[in-house]
Amino acid sequence: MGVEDGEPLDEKTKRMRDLLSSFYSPDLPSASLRSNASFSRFATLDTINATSFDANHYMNLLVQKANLEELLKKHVEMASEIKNLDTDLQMLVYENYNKFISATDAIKRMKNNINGMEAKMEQLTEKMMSVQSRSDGVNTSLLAKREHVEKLHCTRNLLRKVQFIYDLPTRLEKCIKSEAYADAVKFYTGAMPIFKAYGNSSFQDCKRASEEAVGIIVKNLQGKVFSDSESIKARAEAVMLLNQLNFPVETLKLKLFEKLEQFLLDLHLEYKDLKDASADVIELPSQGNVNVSASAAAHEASIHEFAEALHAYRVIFLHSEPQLFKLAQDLVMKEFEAAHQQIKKQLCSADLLAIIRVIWTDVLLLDEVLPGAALPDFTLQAALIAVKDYITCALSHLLLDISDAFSKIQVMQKEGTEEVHPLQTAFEASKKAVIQGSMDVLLDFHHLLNENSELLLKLRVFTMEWVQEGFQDFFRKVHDYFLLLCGKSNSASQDRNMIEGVPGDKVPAGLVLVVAQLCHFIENSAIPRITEEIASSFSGGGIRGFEYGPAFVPAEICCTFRADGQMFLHLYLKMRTQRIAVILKKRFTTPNWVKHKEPREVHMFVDLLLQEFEAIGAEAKQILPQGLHHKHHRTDSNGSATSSRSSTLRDSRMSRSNTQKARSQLLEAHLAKLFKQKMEIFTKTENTQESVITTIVKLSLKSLQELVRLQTFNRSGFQQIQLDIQFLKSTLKDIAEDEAAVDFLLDEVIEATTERCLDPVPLEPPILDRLVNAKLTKTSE
Amino acid sequence: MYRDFTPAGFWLCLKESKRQPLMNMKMNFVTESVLVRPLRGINEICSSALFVAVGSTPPHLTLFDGLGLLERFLCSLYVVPCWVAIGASGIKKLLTFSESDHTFSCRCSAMQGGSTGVGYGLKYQARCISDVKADTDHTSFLTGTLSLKEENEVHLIRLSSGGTELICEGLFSHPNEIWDLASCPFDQRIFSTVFSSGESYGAAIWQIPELYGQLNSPQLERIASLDAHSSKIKCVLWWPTGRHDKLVSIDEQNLFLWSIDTSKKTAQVQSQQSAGMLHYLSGGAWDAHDVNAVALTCESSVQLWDLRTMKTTNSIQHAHVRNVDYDTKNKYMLVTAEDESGIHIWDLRKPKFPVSELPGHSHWTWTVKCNPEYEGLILSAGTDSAVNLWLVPPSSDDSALDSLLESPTRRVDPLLHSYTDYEDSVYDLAWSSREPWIFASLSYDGRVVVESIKPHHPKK
Repeated sequence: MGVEDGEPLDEKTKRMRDLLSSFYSPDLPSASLRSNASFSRFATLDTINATSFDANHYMNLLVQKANLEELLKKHVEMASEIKNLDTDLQMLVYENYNKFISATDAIKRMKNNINGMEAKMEQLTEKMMSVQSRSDGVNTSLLAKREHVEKLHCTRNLLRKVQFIYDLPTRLEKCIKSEAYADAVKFYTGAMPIFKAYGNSSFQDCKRASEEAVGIIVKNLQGKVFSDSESIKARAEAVMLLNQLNFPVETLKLKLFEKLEQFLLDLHLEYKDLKDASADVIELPSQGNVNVSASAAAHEASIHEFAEALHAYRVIFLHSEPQLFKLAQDLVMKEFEAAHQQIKKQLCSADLLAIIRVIWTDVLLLDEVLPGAALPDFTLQAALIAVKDYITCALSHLLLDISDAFSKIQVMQKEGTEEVHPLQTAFEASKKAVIQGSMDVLLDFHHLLNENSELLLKLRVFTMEWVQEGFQDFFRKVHDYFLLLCGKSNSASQDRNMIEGVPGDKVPAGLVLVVAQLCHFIENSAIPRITEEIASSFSGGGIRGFEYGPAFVPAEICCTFRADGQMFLHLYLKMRTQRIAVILKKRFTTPNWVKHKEPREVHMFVDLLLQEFEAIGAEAKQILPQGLHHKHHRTDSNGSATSSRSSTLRDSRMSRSNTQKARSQLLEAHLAKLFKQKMEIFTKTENTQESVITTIVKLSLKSLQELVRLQTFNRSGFQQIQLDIQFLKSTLKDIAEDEAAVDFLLDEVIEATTERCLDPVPLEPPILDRLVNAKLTKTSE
Repeated sequence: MYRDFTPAGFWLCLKESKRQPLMNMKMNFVTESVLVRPLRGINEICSSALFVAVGSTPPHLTLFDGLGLLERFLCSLYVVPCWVAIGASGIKKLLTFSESDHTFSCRCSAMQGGSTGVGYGLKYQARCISDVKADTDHTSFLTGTLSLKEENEVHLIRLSSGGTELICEGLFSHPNEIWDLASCPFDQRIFSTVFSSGESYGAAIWQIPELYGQLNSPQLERIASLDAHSSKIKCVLWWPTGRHDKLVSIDEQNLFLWSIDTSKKTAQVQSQQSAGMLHYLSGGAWDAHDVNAVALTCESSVQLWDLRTMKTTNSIQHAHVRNVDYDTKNKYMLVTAEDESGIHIWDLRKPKFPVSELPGHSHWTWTVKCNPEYEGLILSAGTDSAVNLWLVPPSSDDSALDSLLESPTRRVDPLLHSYTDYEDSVYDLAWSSREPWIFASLSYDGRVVVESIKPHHPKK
């Protein structure tokens, strides 16, 4: 170990130390990164172990800091440390050398051991070869014997099978006797492949015998399947076995199914009987009850039976549900069909409820048996339709009742039945038909709601909805019917079957008035009552979306009927004035007015006119209410000034006697007109006797005026008109209400005649009075 | 038109039409008059002079026209302290009467809520007015009076360019009372009248003399007399669309087709056919689309005639049709007015049922006229002293009509406007073909009112 003193040694030691420390301490390199300068500046005496140790600097530091004693002490310390380090180093080197030597030794020994191995391996291969050849020899010598043994074993099995087949018939018979059909089937099916392969040759007899046996088995099994007394499980097993025997189960199934269907048909018939019986109840309550209970019991029994049969079938034939569902639905359908037929016969809600109740119990029964069929839902759907049908049916019957009331009037009028107030009775009848009919119907519907059965509870909301819708529709139809009745609707699109035999054009005027008043009645009495009733019992449907609003809109109906009422009233006025216009027209177009003779009496057209007025008055009095105001009454008057004016005029006129000079009367009339405001003749017609009559009188007088204006008169013609008008003046007072307007119109007629007269010289008042009085006494007689 | 007793006096209403009573009163009261004075101030509003008489016995006041020329003035008067006159044009004119010097001052104010039309007063009662189609420069109307005893007149009225005034362009005396008047569609100076005197009826074609402007009351020139008729003549029809040398005249039993030559002033019967004894014809209309088609109204039906064969081709069985008009915009469309207050619209291809129905008037619907330009606009006039303007929605197919009928609540009211400011029955009206939004109506009291439908028609 060349250890030297002084600087070289230091150098070497340091290198060594670095080397070692680089070996043992991984964190030194990071320390060595520090800059020397900073290190030296801050170095203390402890930095002697650092990598960047600067000896000179250290020495200077040491010399500066320490005194001599410390230096000496340091020196001694240092020398001993150096010595220690030296020995450590020596030891390290030595150990490394030692290791190297031992490694060399090991390598030398390995080299020697490898040399003998190859020869030994060759020996081993040789031995293995010989072992194999020997084993092959043993194998070949044993092969023949082993094959023989195997053949023998096969034969034995075959023989056993043959034995089994020969025994099969007897075995099967035994099984038949003990009714162990399952075993028998197992045996037979086991033997089947053999029979199939050899059945025509060796085992002919055997096959025949066993087939016979199987035939018996099949028969027995079939019997078992069809017999209702066997347990369902046994029957199901039997079917399974038959299936295994390749027996055509489908036909069996079909047969059974047919049986079920047949059953259903029979049941249906019975059901019909029940319905008839229940229908009988209405007519013969005392007798019917027994009938009903008996047939109801029978019905229940048969439904039970059917349910059981269904159940059995379902268990016996798996996967048969769809068919059964259909069957069950058919049943329900049929029941509802029967119900529909009943509904068409106009049964009351109690009967409908009874029917629905019966159906529901049936359905519940079936549902137990066939839970998957969703029968309740199906029934619900069907019941929905039934109830809806019922409601529409009930309402259409109501409509028929109303139309009956009307056709009665027509028949009555055609036959000329003598009745004091035919229109009044008709009106009362139709009123009753509307209000009583709809109340009855509502009451009937009410029963539907009060029923607590599960089915109907579900239907409740729908029922409400339909009742509302139904009434809406009903009133629309009534409206249509009225239109049709009065010949107002334009034909083609309407269904005419409802009112066959009603010729649209020939409707009597009185009937139109009845319809008008009935519209008024519906608007004012019937609708509010029905609305109230519906609101109290049938509100809260809520199926319809909010955007559609409620199904029953009384305001809309009221509006329609108000318009209808007005329209029919106008139609009545029109029909009546048309007749009067014909009379007047004839009067004015027939004679030659320019060559008219002197008036001798009041012309008879006045009688006709008054007759018409009387007829109208009679009609109006039967149907229309009396007006509240019995005196001059105008709805559309133009202000108070007018009415005060016309009343004073009338007073002054009334105070004058007829004996006043006609000429001055005429003049006065002209003068009065000068001061008079334009007379409102065509005011709104109200729904009262007075208003209607007055309107007709006014329209007629206006027509008279217009007709006069179209003619040219001579003096006599003028006087004739003057006479007629004078007579009318005295008579119309009793007929028409609005005296002022009537007087005005009569004056207008006179004026028009004057204008159209070639020589307007009025009749002398005494003559006028005499002629009028003569006519008055004549008519009073 | 107001009258009321007030402390200061009373309102007095005088109607233009009441000339007859006016005359009577004059006879009656003029001797008792305390005061008779010409109303000087009144010249500001009308051209004729007026006298007023204030009597001591009732009535206190009466008004009459001194010259019988009360044409364009009309009136309601208010005695003391002021007079209100309502001009025929609808402008309320307030006349203030000064007692000291008996003069009037005039103030105009708009009339409240009253008539908007332009008015014109005829001297006598009248039934017929016709649009002068051939006059393309002006909106003119011809109208004739119906007076049994007085001398009748034909007025040629022209709407001033501003549309605010009706000007009398010509005043011609006519020998008899005029029951029907039709202007020639291709010559503005030619027109036809149907007239009567007592029992006799006649029809003639007239020509307005060229220098009429200079004469006060010039004579009309009679081009031709349609004198082949044996019974009461109802009307004379010109083909509405243009120059056509034929003319149709209708009397109660017969239909005549005349061949007219206006230059040679001849009229010859080309053919004639009886409608049958039982059908009393009352009027008719000539199809603007078909020169050979004429519709005649009789008591129980509307007959459609072919002028080539002079035979009925078709008929609408509907009673009491008073007036008929072809829709000038739609071929095959016919509008009828019924006696008993209804208007029906027919498709001639489906004559069984009307296409639609309008309520008409409170009393008889006397006449209907389709607008020559705007589709579905119909005017009707009736004896309830009203003129109604209708708009019929174009419902060509039946389904639309059905839906219309089925929903009465949603039905649109076809009545656009009702002109009710008439004193008497309105017997005739005429659309102006030059300005199709203008029509003239004539009430029996001789008042012509020209109105514009513009304020009432939604589209125009």
